[in-house]
Amino acid sequence: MKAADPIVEVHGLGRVFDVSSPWVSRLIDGEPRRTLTAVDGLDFAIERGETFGLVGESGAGKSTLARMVVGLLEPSQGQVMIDGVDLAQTRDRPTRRAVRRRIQMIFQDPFASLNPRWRVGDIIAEPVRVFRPRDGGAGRLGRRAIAARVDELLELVGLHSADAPKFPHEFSGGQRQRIAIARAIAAHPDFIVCDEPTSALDVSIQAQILNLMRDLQERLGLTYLLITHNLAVVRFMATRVGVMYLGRLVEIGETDALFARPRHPYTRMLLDAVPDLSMSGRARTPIGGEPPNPIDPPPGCPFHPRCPKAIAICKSERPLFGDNVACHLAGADEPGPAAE
Amino acid sequence: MTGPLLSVRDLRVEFATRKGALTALDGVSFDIAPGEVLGVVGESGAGKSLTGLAVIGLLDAPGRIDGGEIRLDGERIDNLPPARMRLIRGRRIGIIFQDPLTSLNPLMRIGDQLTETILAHKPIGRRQARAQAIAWLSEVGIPSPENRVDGYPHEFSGGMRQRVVIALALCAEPQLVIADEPTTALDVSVQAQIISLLKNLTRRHGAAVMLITHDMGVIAETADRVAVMYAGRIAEIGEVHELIRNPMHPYTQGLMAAIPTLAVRARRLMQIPGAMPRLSAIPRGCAFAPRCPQAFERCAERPPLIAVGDRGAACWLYDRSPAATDIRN
Repeated sequence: MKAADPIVEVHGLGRVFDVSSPWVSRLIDGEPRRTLTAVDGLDFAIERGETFGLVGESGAGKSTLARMVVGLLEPSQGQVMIDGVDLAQTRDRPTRRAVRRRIQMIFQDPFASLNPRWRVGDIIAEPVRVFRPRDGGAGRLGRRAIAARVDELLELVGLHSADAPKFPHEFSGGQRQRIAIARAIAAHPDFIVCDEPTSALDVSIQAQILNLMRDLQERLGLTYLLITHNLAVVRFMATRVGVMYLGRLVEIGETDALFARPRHPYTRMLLDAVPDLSMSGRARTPIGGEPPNPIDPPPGCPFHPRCPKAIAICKSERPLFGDNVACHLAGADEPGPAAE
Repeated sequence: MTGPLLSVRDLRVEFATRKGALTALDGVSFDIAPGEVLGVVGESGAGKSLTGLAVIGLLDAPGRIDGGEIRLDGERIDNLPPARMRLIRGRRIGIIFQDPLTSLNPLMRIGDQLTETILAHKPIGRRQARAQAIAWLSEVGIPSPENRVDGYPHEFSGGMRQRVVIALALCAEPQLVIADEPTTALDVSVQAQIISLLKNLTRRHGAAVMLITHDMGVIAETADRVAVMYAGRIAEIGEVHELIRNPMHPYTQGLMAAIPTLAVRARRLMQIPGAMPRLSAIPRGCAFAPRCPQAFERCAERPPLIAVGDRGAACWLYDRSPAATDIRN
């Protein structure tokens, strides 16, 4: 599948971490090196202007993927292309700089992602300063222009220009996340990676932040990669969804279709596991087990020990990702429409 | 069997600070019937966990109960000396906390923690207690409990640890279990398993549950009745289905509308403007009034929990007394 106008393309992306004990202990206990494959051969593209949601349980590799996409972590294999540029390979400074400006990130914990010793105005002004035009041309920003831009950004995210001289501790969690968003959009990015942006917030505040993110997307033409474990948040925000399990994508689909007719048994299970607020009393497939340890993943399809539909081949052969799903049974035994 | 199992009346909890006393719980009243599951829901800082801690007598200084009373089976337990309270805690009231890693002793085998708890509360021998410990592990769904009973907490996964914590809370067969965010630290698939385990086990053993959570979905799946808390007060209380389908208090209405659902992709989520006030700045009158779209003059005065049928809402909109009708017209 090729997106019509991809802003981000991920090819065979993988990341392996060395989780061995220190070498002395390995020597004494005769232990071998141990590795953890956090992300394993991902391929997908994100189209300009869309919100690509990525869901999965802890240990699925969501955050590792996010950090590789923004360039905070080098891939062990494969590449991330932002508008055709692979940051990990490009050494040309102006190109790197131009791409960097266009990618920003919003983190989960608004208490940890803002420097407590910086005033809010300085936090938001930093990307404006760093990415201002260098060569003193017409676009060069002076002090006053930067302050004006900070005010504009604060208003844009629903804060007040009078908030600029305050410190982060003077704000609530939701307001801090607004500050983080203002910082993220300060340098006019095209693409923002949002790693669990509302997981630390209460529902009423979550609604404010999600609405704000959608408004900004519309006004500024942003593209989002939204990473979350909350399926309802993905449902509200995403145009397309990728489901990860143990470092691999198991299914990708348009949001509506994926929620109505999940094709991978794991997706089905995730949807069934969400507590039902409407209390329709729908039948749920109880699935046992927990995500396995990624250091020692099961052979074959990593989901087979928990899968109610697993057959012999699932235990030995890893299903390839094709036609947007990685399941031996896809196509042959397509689960029926969801009983929603 | 009459009367409620747990009865909390007009509970007030204060925190003494340098800037004076902060009222963290203010006039909290509710009952839990034997075998009933009461969900307590609210946003962070609403006072949910504090209510649970007050009931089991584990409020840490500078927090203290400043008024009201708590009765378990008719007996007052809010003013018991610590030694007496210790006999009630564990034996008659079991506790499940959010993080299974911190509520288990990392240096003790799972089996010893269970056996010790059983021995502390039941007049039986060690061998018998160990047999019961194994039986409990099997009841909470730990595979091959005879082998796992001698394992340490770090050898268990998150979900399995929470199962052990549930076994610990239930092994003395308490009448009431206080579960404070029991599934918040778990993945969704595991969360569903733990919810149904907790529901089935407490039902089988006839224990009542006070289920504290911020997740309305968990409440909908588990609770019989639900109390919605806001700024240290109960905003609304009632039967769970009715409350979710037809919330009365404007705060509950806003809260329900703010939750994204799986069913449809909404254009926009409803949002309540602003945030819950800090303890030091709770407004006079109704605490929700400054954010309330339906606030009127009367809200400057604090509303009591007004009974409407078998539900209750702390909101003047439901005051049907003649005086109130006059004012509104």
